Amino acid sequence: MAVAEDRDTHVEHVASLERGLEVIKHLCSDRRVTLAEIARDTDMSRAAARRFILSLQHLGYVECDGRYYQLRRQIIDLGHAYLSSLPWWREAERAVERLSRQLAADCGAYVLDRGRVATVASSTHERFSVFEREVGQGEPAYASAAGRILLAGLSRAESAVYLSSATLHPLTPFTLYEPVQLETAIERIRAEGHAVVVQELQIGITSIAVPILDRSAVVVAALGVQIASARDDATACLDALTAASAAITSAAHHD
Amino acid sequence: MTEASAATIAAHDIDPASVATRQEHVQAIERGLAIIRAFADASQELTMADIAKAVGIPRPTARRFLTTLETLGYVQSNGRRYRLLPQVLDLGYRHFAAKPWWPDAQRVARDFADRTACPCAVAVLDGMSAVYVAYAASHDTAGPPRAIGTRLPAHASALGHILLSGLDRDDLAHRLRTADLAAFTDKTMTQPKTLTAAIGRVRAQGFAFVSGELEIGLASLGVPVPNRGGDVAAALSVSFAAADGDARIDTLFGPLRQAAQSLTNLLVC
Repeated sequence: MAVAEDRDTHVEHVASLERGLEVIKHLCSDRRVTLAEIARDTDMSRAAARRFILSLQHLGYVECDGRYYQLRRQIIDLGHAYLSSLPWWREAERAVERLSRQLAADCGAYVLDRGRVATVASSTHERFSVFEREVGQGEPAYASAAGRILLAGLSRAESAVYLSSATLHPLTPFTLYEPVQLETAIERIRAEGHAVVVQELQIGITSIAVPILDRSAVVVAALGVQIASARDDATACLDALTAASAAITSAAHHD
Repeated sequence: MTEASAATIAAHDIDPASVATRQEHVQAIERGLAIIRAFADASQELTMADIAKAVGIPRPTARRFLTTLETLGYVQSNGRRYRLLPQVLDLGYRHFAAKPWWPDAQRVARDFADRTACPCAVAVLDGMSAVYVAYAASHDTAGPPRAIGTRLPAHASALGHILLSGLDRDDLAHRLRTADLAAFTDKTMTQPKTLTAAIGRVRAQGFAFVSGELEIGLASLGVPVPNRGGDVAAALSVSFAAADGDARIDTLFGPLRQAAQSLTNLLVC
């Protein structure tokens, strides 16, 4: 096993784990790749790359077709380990499914991931989302209702750090992107407990979100819906989200 | 990469043409991924001791791996307890979640049909129809060949009974009340009351057996494909000549359950 001393923290760093994870990320592509390409793009010898690939093949995560390698769908085990480790996730999953049917709109549950909004549950109106779904690393947090809910869930010091370090720019003519304006908007969300963002991310789309709280009232995620801005039932959507969020919290901590 | 790690890796370089052996595997990646998997269904944060025990490694080793995962942004700790971070979704989940599920489902169906010489179908519920999303048959099978997209009446098929068994009671009652429960043979169940009872039995026993209700002489055995939370996401069935009866059920049930598990592992939730 390759072990190196981390210069900054003086903790032993498992370099070969880091490189193996790089290999996996490199394989997240629709293009099949050869061993030589993996070696070149991850900056290691072909023999070293081959050992990582063999290990991943052994785990059932990679398959080989002649000279070409690709990930197998089984690797979603890893992402699923993350999702299922969230105590509220399964309940959110079911709630999102119900909400999207009830509101005839796309719904989702979201967490903050390096300044962006990551989807952890989603249901697209009129689609079977258990089979496939978009789990993009998502929009920048400042421009969606879910993102602002998550920013409002941070401490004031943390949200200030975000606003001073994030790249803020308008995505539509309506996007708030001045730190001062965003700070005011986030402060208002802290007071009101919900966020409504009209056409700031995309013209014609309104996003509405509420926080999902753990039992100590800490914001663990956002629950949101995207509707056409022309719809006149935003209040009903907000009420449905609020009720669903409360149900998630109580169900997740029931057992 | 640090110079030290480059040197370590270079020192381990071996002849790429050599035969693969267990020693060639990189233990670090296997252990690292086992640590990530240890959080599955934990529904809580884990201590280093929990993780060391789950993965079967000494605590100091667990500590080194967790520190590495923390430095890389996959794990967060509050000093005592560890939890995974959403960056784990970058390790293949995001990539596959958006890709269609059915090509992989089709492979599972194909394997099953080849192994058992019986046609096999995966279906989801749409209204009161079971709609095929995967289908495979061997050349000498009983019954008509069918294609992906085939719709079977849910009340008269094993696939349908499984899918209906996943509904909550109100939803089921509503659908049975408003559906056209046509008779296809004289064995087809057409009464909501009879069907409710039959579907209740399916829910309790975890499989559905339908013989001669859709076509005379044709039998089907169906099992649920649950998502990882146990909700019925799809149904999987195998068909055979009704005359072959119970003996077939005994030999097909095990492989069918295994195939359903393979399908579950391919679902995004």
